[in-house]
Amino acid sequence: MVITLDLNGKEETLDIDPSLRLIHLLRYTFGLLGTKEGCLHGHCGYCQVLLNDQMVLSCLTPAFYTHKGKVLTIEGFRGTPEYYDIEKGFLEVQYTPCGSCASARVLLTHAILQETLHPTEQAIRKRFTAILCRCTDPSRLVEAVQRTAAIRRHRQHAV
Amino acid sequence: MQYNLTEPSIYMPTSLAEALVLKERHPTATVYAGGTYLLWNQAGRLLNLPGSILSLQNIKELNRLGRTETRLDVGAMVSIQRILRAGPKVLSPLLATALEGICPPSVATMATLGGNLSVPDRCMASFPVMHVLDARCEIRSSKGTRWVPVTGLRSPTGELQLEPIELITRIQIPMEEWNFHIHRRIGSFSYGITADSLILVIVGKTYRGMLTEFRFALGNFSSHIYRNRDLETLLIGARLPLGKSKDLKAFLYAIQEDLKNQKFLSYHVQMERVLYILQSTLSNPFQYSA
Repeated sequence: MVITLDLNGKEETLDIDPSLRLIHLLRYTFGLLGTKEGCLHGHCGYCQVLLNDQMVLSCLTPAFYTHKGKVLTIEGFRGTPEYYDIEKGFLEVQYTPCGSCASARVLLTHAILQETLHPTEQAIRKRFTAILCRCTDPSRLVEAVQRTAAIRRHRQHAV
Repeated sequence: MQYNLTEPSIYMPTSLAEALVLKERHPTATVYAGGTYLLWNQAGRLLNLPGSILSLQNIKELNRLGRTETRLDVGAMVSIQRILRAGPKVLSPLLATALEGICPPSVATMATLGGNLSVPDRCMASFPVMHVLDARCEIRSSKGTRWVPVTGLRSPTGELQLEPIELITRIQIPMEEWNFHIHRRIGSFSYGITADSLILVIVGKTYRGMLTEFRFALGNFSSHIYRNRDLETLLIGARLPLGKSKDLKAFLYAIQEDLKNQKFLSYHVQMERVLYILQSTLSNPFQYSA
């Protein structure tokens, strides 16, 4: 079947097998390897991307579901001012997630900050239970997201 | 597992009218809302999809969320995460707890309330709370619209009471104020549903220390849920807290016997847990005030 989607700001039209998962479309058709393949069961959360500004598990999303949708992966997000806020915020508190979960954590931070620029500790902890990786200290994660929120608030006021 | 070797037919309507026409033309098509139940635990490179799919993600009419003074109107395709994002000004504490308990946060962005209620072979996690709150579903087909209470969505034998050409389009949840409420998940939920997963919902209203309304429901992800309206009325009029009163003991005994007769619970420990929660709630309901 033929689908049209906005992938990282670029319109793509392609003929796909409807049974294809979004993660495999991203990784093997478009070569966007920043989205990591984990359990393929929807447990680990490594494969999350933004579909129409909502975090979705790309392993549990069929590729056809993105038809007329807007997909943002870490490759498309990199280079935006919002990405630099997150990079700066994470570095300032020396929060360094591992290679498996980093892209999902960055996108999830972006998704949280799109909803509110004053996320509470409880809300951050709850949202990040969507990623099952024990590479980093959860308290530092909260600090990193709140620091990023402060940077973004400051940047938006400056603009 | 049997794999479907032919390419599935996928219909992606952009309006509700188009979806209803397509559903009439293809009544056997599986309705695809968030897809979380359909695709859960599917390993392998390719997904095993049904032969014919009606995907509703591009229908704006089904993505509306609204609140009036007395009710919350949820479009069938509104994700659980979006409902939760409405916050405490829109959601009652019971509803927020119940929605958080439906699925993990990673899945909540995809799972929908309409999809959760439409799973054909099981009463999923939203069923007990919707049952207790007396929610209603708007069901539409090309022939018309009807409203069905969630209690009437399933037959006594557990079959989903939806015609092949019908779709759940909206869920209406009354926003009543309850003086106490409990939503408990008992058993294992870490990796989906297991044989010991159980959901217990209790709500009650009091007036001057007297119990004026009491409802409770149990869901174990089978084809039906447990609710006994006759037993719910046993304690109406009783003065709270019930402490260790005879009324409470008689009520708990009646529930125990009814649950045993209906063979609703698989394990003895589940029964103990349910009775303990009911007892502790009714002994001092004000510790669970809304």
